[in-house]
Amino acid sequence: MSSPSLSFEISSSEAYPHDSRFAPRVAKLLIRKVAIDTPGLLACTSRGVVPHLSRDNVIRTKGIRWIHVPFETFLEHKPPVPTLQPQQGQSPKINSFLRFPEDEYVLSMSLRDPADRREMPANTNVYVTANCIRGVKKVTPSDWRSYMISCNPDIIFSLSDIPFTTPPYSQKRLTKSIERSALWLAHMLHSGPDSTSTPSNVFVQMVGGASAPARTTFAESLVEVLHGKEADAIQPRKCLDEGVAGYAFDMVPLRLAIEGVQGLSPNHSTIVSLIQASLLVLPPNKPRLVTSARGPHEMLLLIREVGIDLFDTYWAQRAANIGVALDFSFPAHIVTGKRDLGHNLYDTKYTRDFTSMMGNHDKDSPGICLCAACSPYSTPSPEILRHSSMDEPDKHRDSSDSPNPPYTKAFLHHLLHTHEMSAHSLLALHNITVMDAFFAGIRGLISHNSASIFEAEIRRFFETYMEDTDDMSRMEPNVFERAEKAWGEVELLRGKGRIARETERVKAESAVAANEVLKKEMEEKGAEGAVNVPLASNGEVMM
Amino acid sequence: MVLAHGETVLPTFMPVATQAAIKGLTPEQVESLGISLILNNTYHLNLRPGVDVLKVAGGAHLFEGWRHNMLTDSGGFQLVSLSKFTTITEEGAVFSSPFNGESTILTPEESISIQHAIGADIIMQLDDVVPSLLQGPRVEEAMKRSIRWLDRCIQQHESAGRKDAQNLFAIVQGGLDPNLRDKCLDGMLERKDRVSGYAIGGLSGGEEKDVFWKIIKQCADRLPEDRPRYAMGIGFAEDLLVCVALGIDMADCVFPTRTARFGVALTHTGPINLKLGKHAKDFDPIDSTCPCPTCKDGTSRALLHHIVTHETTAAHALTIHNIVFQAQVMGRAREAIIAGTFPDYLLSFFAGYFGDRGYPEWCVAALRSVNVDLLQNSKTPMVPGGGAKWEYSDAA
Repeated sequence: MSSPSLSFEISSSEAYPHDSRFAPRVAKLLIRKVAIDTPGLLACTSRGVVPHLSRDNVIRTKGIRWIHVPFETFLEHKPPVPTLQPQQGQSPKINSFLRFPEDEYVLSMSLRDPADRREMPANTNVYVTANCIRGVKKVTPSDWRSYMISCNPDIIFSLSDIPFTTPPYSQKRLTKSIERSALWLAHMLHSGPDSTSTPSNVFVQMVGGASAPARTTFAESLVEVLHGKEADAIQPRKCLDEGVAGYAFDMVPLRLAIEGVQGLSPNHSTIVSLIQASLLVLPPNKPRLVTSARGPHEMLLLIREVGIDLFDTYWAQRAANIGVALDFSFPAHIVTGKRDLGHNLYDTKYTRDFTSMMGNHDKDSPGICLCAACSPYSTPSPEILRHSSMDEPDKHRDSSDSPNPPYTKAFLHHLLHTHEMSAHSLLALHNITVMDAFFAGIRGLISHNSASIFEAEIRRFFETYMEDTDDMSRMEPNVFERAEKAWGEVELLRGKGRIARETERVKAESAVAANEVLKKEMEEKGAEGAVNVPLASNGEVMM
Repeated sequence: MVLAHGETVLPTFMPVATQAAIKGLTPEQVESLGISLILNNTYHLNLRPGVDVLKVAGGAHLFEGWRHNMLTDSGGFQLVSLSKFTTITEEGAVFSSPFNGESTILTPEESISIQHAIGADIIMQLDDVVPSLLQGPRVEEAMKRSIRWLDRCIQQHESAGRKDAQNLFAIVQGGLDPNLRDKCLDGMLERKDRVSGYAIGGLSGGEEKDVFWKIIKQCADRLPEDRPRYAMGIGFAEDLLVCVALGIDMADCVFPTRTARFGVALTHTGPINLKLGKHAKDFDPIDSTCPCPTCKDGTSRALLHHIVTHETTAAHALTIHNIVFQAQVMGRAREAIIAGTFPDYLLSFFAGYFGDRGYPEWCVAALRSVNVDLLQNSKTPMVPGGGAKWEYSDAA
C-alpha cells in the first residue's frame, strides 16, 4: 500500500522572490486532507504518544496537526508490535495503532529519536544502531524498509548513517556516512516486485557533519543522474532526488559535530552556512524540516537565512517538562526592557499570581492565548458522558460560548511543587499553542509585508526576549536553567530517603539563617567596640 | 442531592483530587466524564497551597478550576496514615513536622475553619480516627471523643455563619465493635438536625470483609432516610455495590485512580494489569463497550502496554478509563434502582465479575441480608476470603 503523495506549494510574496534559494517563504504542504501551513510545526512523541497529552488533550491542542514518531522504541519486540496491527479499513497501520486518524494528522517516522544525543555504538555498512528499552538494536536497510512498508506512515525518513560516536569525525568517516546514506536511500526507493509497495514520501536527513564540502558532496549525490545498475534500482527515477519529498536537518548531531571540530558551542552563522552547503545544489521547492531547534531565536534565523519550513516542538515540550510556561509572540509583545522567553513557575513569586500563563501584557499586544489552559472550554453538554438516565449535566449550568477562567500561574506553581502530572499536561498544551501562534505570526508577517519589515520585527524580537543559549559568559543562569534546578529539587523531595534528605536540608538552612543573625548582631555590637556573644549555660556559644 | 455547585445524583462514587487535582487530569477532562462531585483533602491543601493562598484565590473551586460539587474530608484520616508523627489530645491532633520537629495542632475548630476557606459544598467533622484493627480502650475513647469533636465542629460551623453555604457531615466511629458503633449512632443521631449527612468511618483498614459489611449494615439501618450516607474509603466495585445494597449513597477512594497510574485498568470482568506481556499484542481496547474517551477512541491494550509506566500519557488514559468505569458501575446501579431491577443488576454484575472464580462468601452473606441470593440459579460456587481480584502473569 503506498502513501498518498505530498504537495508543497510556495506562495508568491512581494517580500521575497519566489525562486530564491535561501529566503523566507510561506507555503502549504498537503497530504490527503491535511494542510500544514509553513513555516509551521510538528509535535514530538515519545513511545508513540505526545508526552503528557492524552488523546482528548491532543484534540484540544489545535496546533498539533503533524506528529513525528521515532520507531526505535518498538524494537523491543520482534517483530515490532505496530507491524502486527490488524488492518482497519484503508488506514495505515501506524495510524490505526497510534490512533491518529490519517485525514486529520500528518504522521512522519524516523528510526531514531532526533533529539537523542547519547553516544551509540558505531553504525556499519550493513546496519544502524538504535535504542530501545532492551538495549541497542541493529537495524538493516531491509528491516527499515519492511517496517516502513508495513506501518505506512505519510512520511518516511530514509535510513541514514549519522554517527553518534565521539566527534570529530574523520574524512573517511564522513565519506562512509555520505555513501551509506545515499545507498540506503536508493534501497528505500527501489520498486518492490509489486510496484505499489514503493514508499512515496521519503524525507532524507542531510548528512556530512560539520564539513561543508562533505555536505555538498552528499547533496550532489542526490541530484547526480545515475547509470547502469544503480539507475535500474531506482527506475523510473533518474536520480535519487526525484524520489525525495523533503529535506531534514537534525540540530542535535549537527551541533555535536560542530562542537567536536571547534571545541565551542556552535554559533548561528556556522550552523546556517552548513545547512546552506547542503541545499546549494538541491531544488528549492521542497519542504525543509529542522529537528531540535533551540528556541524561537534560532528558528527565526533559520527561516530568514535559509528558508526553513518546518520545526519540531522539542524545545517547547522540554520547557513544559521543566516547568516553564512560554510567553512570547511574533511580532514581539510591546514591552519595556528585555524579558525571558517564559516563566519559571517554580519560582515563589508566582505563589499568589492569579494571572494566566500569558497574562499581564499591555492592551496593544497580540491577543490572548487560546490554548486549553489559558482559554479552557467545557465540553458541550450533549457530549458529556451520562451514566444513568437521571444524569443531567446541563442542569444549573450556564452554557455560553465564552471560555472558563484561565488556569493561573499560582495554580500551576502549586501543581509543580506538589509534583502533580497535570502541571505538565497544561504546560505542554500551552507551550505547543504558543509555538503555533508564533509561526502564524511569522507567516502573516512574511505574506503581507516588505522584507525590511520582517527584518525589523526579527531585530525587535531579539531585543525583546533573551535567547536561550549555552553562552558561557553569562553569569546568571537563565530561566530554563533555574527551572531545571527547581524541578530537580522537587524530584529529590520524593522517594526513598527523602525525609533524611529534607531534614538535612532544613537543618542546614536554619544553621545558615542562625549564622546570619549572629553575624548581624556581631556587626552591630562591633560598632560599639564590644562583642556580646550569647553563651549557653554550659559556656558554649549559642547558635 | 442538590448543592451549591449543582446537582449530583445518588448513589455515586467520588474520585479523589487529593492536592487540588485528579492526578493527571484537568477539570475540563473530569467534567466531560460525567463527574459532578470530587473530593479534596484538607490536610494536604492546608500544607500546600495553604489557607492564605486559598483565601486570596476565593476558595478551592476557583483556585483549581473545578466548577461542580466538592467534598473535603477533615484531616482525620491523616491521623492514621501519618500516625508516626501524630499525638492525639482532647484539644486536637498534634502533627509534628518530620523535617524539623515543629508541631502544628489540628483542632476541630481549626479543621472546620480550613474547610470554610477551601469552600467545599460538603465538609466533614474532625473525627478521632483509629486504625480499623486496633483493639482496646483506645477505640472507645476515640468514639466518644468523635462525638465531642462533632459538637465543637457544629459550633464552629454555625457560629461562622456557614451553615447555609456548606453542609457538615458527621462521621460514625466505634471500630469493629457493634456496641461501640451503637453508642456512637445514639450520640450522633441526637445531633441529626444540626448535620446534613452521615459518614461511616473507621473502616477500610484491612479488617475482615465479613466484619466490614456487618458494620456498614448496622449503621445504614439506623441512619436516617433523609440524610445521605457516605461510606469512606470504599472503591472496589464489589464493595461499592454491596454498600449500595445495604443503603449507602456515596463513597470515595483513591483506588481506581491510583491503580490506573500503576497500569491497571478496571473492567466488568475484573482488573487488567496492562504491564503484563500478555497484553503486548492485544489490539482490542480495554472494553469495546466502555464509553470513556480511551476506549471509544479505540486505544488498544497493545499501545497502552507499550506506554504504561513509561509515559504520563498512559496514566492519564487509564485514569480516564477507571473513573468512567466507577461511574458506570454506579450509574447502572441508579438505573436499576429506578427501574426496580436492582437485584437483577447485582446478580448480573457479580456473575460477570466473579463468575470465573466463585463468589466471595462475604458478598453472598451481605446480599442475602437484603434478600438477594447470588447463588440462586447459579452454578458458580462460593469461595472463602476477601475475593479481591487481580491479574497475574501467565508465566508465574
